Amino acid sequence: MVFSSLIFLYVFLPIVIILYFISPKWFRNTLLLIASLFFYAWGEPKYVVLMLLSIIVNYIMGIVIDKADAKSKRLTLLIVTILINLAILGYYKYAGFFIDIYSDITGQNIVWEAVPLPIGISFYTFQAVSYIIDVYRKDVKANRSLIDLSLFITLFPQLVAGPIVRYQTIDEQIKSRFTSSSDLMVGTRRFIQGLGKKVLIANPMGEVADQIFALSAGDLTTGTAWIGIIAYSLQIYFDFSGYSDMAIGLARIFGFRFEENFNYPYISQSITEFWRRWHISLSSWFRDYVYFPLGGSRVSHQWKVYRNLLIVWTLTGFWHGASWTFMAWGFYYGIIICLEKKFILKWLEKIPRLFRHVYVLILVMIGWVFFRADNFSYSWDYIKTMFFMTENGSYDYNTIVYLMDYAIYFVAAIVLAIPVYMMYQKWSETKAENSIGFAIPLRILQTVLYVGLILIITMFLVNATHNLFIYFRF
Amino acid sequence: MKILNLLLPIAMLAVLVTGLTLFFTTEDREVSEMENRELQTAHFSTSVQDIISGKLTKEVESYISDQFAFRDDWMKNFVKFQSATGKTVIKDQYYVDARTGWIVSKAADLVPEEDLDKFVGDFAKINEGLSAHNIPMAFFTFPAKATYVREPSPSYAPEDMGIKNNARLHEKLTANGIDNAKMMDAIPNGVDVHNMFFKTDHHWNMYGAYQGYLAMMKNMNARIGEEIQPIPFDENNMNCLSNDFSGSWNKVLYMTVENDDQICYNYPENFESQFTVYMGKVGEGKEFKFNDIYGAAKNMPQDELVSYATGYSLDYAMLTFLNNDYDSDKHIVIVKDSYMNAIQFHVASHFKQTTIVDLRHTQGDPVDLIAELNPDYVFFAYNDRNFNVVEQY
Repeated sequence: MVFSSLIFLYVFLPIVIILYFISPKWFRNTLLLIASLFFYAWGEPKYVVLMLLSIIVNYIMGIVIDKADAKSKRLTLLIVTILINLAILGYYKYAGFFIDIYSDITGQNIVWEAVPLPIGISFYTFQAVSYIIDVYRKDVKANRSLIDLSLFITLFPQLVAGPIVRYQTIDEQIKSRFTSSSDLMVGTRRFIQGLGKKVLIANPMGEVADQIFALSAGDLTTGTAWIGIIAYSLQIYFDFSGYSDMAIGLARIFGFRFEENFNYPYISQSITEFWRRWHISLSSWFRDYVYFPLGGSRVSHQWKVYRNLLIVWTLTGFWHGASWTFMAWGFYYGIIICLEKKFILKWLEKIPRLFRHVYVLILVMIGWVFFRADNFSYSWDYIKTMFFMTENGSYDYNTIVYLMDYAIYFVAAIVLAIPVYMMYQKWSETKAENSIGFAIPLRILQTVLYVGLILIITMFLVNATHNLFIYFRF
Repeated sequence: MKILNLLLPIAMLAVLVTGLTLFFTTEDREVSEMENRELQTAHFSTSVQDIISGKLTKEVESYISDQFAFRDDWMKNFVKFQSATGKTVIKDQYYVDARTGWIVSKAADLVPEEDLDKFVGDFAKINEGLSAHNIPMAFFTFPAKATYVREPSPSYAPEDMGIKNNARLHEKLTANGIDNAKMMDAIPNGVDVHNMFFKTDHHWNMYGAYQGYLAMMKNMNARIGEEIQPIPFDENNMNCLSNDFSGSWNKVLYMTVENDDQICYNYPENFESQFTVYMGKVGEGKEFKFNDIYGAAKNMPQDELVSYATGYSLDYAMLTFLNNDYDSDKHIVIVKDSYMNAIQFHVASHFKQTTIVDLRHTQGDPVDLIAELNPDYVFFAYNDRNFNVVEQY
C-alpha cells in the first residue's frame, strides 16, 4: 500500500488510528503488527511469507547469538545469519545481475527468469542485519518477544522505504511508549507535510523528469536537459524525504520517535556534507556496519582510508540497484569524497559560499543523471547536452512549456528545499510555547491550512497518474 | 495547550472519517459520463489465485478511486486548478482560451511514414477488391477541427502537422491509384474556419458540416457524371436548440470551459417525410423515419445537455436510406466516420438509395460487405485526423 493513495489515506489510516487509540495498551503492539502485515500484504500478498521467514530467522538467531558465550561461536553465528539475510536479498535483487556477468564472461547462456523485487526488502533486510550485529556486539539484548521483534521489522510507517530504523532507537519505545497531545500534533503535521511534498511537488516534478528522460538524446536541447535534471533532483528529494516525513510523522502519532533521515541536503557546501544530510539512516548504517569494521579512517596508511571509502560508496550505489550504473554512481561519490578528503575541502574553504553551493549542486545533478538514466550511453549524451557539447540547440517548445507549466512547482520546490519554513516553524513554536495569546491563533490557522492542504492533496490523488515512490524499487 | 494541540489531529481525522463515511454511503456509479469509461464496481475477483497475485487488491484500489465521493467534482476542480496555475496544455491534450471558450488540440506530430503506408495499403486492397467487382470508389477527407482551428494557441506552440499529414496521405493515395479529394479544397476561401466548428468539440457545427456537404456534392457529381444541385445553405432556415452543449473536448475537461456552442439544424421540411430508413439492408428489421435517426436532441428537455451525437445522429453500423424524391436513381454507398452524421440525410436526399456504413461497427471484410450491396459508387469520407479506419486489416 502506498501512503499517497486514497485507500491508505481514507480507509487504512483512520481505521488504524481509531483502533489503536481505543485498544488497551497491552494490545497495541499486536494491533500495529497486524496492521503492518496487512499493509505489506496489500501490495505484496505472496511476499509477506518471505518477510515473516526473515523475521523468524533473525528472531531465533538473535536469541542464539545472545546466549552463546564463546566469541568465535558468536562470530560464526553472526556470519551465518548475515549470509542468510544477504542470500534472500541477493536472490531477489542481485541474482540476475551476477548471472548476466557470469554469462558475459563465460559465454554460457544461462536461463534465468527474473523474479520481481519484493517491495522494501533492502530496507527490512538492513534493519534485521543491524539488529543481529547489535546483538552480537552486545549493544542490545536479543528480543524474546516475537511480536515485538516483528513489529520492529514490519512497523508500517517505515517498512517499505525507510528510514532504516536501528533497533537501539526504538527498543524501549516498543516495550513502553506514550503519545502526548504534542506528539499527535507534531506527528500529524509532519505526516501532512510529507504527503504534500510527495503529492504536490515530487509527483509534478516526476512528470517533467519522466517526459524529458523519455526523449531521445537527439531531441534534447540544453535548456530541456537542465530542466529535466533539476526536476529529477527535486523529485527524488521530495519523494524520498516526503516519505521519510510521513514515516516519522506516523510513527510519532503511535508514540515512536524515529531519527531524522534528511536535513536539507541541497544546501550543502561539499559532497561530504551532502551525504551527511541525505538518506542519513543509510549513510550511518554503512558507516557503522561497513566503514568502521573496515577500519574507517583509523588505519595505518592513508590509502586504506580511500580504499575503505571507495568500498563503502560502491556498496551504497549497489544497494540502490543491481546495475553497473548504480555502482558507477556510488563509485562516483566515493571518488569525490576521497578527493575532498585529500584536498578539495581545503580549496572549498577558500572560495565564496555561493560557489561551494554551485559546486555541490552541479556534481549532485551529474550524479543523478547516471542514477536516472537507463544506461551509460544515454547518461553521457545527456551530460554533453547539458553543457552545450552537442548541436541540439539551447531550447525548444518543450523547454518553454515545462518552464511555463511547472514554474509554480519549481518555485515551491526550491523554496521548500531550503530551511526557510523550518526556521519559521521553530520560531512560531517557540513563541507559542511562551504565549498562549500567540498559540491560539497559530493552532487555529495551522489547522485550517493543513486541512486545506489535505483537501488539495485529495484533489491531486483523485487525478493521480504518477504516484509510486522512487525508493520503493530499492 | 493540550486542547490546542489536539485541534489538528482531530480535524485531520474528521476529514478522513468523513471521506470514509461518504465513500460507504454514496451510491456506486457504473459509468463515468465525463471520463467516458466504465467505473470499477464492487464486483471483485476473489479466487485464491487472484488474492495471491494481488489482482483483488488492485481492483479494490480502483474501486475506491473510481467510487470516491464527489469524484467528478474533485476532477473538475483539478482542471480548474491547472488552468488557474497557468498550465499550457490542460490534461496534456488541449489549449484552452477561457475568455473565448475555444478549446484547441495540442499540435500533432508528423504521422510516421510506415503508418501512412499501412493506411494507404489497406485502401489499395479495398480499391483492388472493389475493382474486381466493377465498383468504383473514391476517398474523401473532411477538414477536421484539430487540423484547421489552431488559434488560439500559445505563440510558442509548435506547428501542427495536420495539413502536412493530410497532403502526404493524398499524395500516397494518388500514387497508389486511388481516386481521392480533399473537401477543404472545394470549400470557398471566404469561409472562416472558426465559424465551421464547435468551440468545445472535435466536430464541425451545422455551418461547417454544410460546407462539407456542398464540397462533397461537387466532388461526387464529378465522379458519377451527374449535375445534381445541392440544397443551398439558407441562413434563415437555421434552427438552434437552447440546450447547453456537451462538447467532447469539454467533457474531457469536465465541462469547465464556458462557451456559446449550440446544436443547430438546417434542412428542408420535406426531409421529415421523404425517407424510409433501415438499420441494415433494405427490408431488414423495422422501418424508420428521418426524426427517428436524426436530431434526438430536439425531443430532450431544455435543461439537459446535448452532444454532437444526440444533436445529429449516433454511429450505426449500417443505415439504408430509400428516398422518394431523388435527383439520381443511383445507389451510393458512403463509408464514413462521425463527421458525416450531420449531413447524411442531405447527401441521401439526392439519390434513390444511399447506404451509410461505419466500419468501426461492422465485422468481416469491407470488400465483401460493400460488394454484397452492389452499389453504383462507393465514397469513403473521413475527417483528415483519422488514420485508423480499416481495423479489419
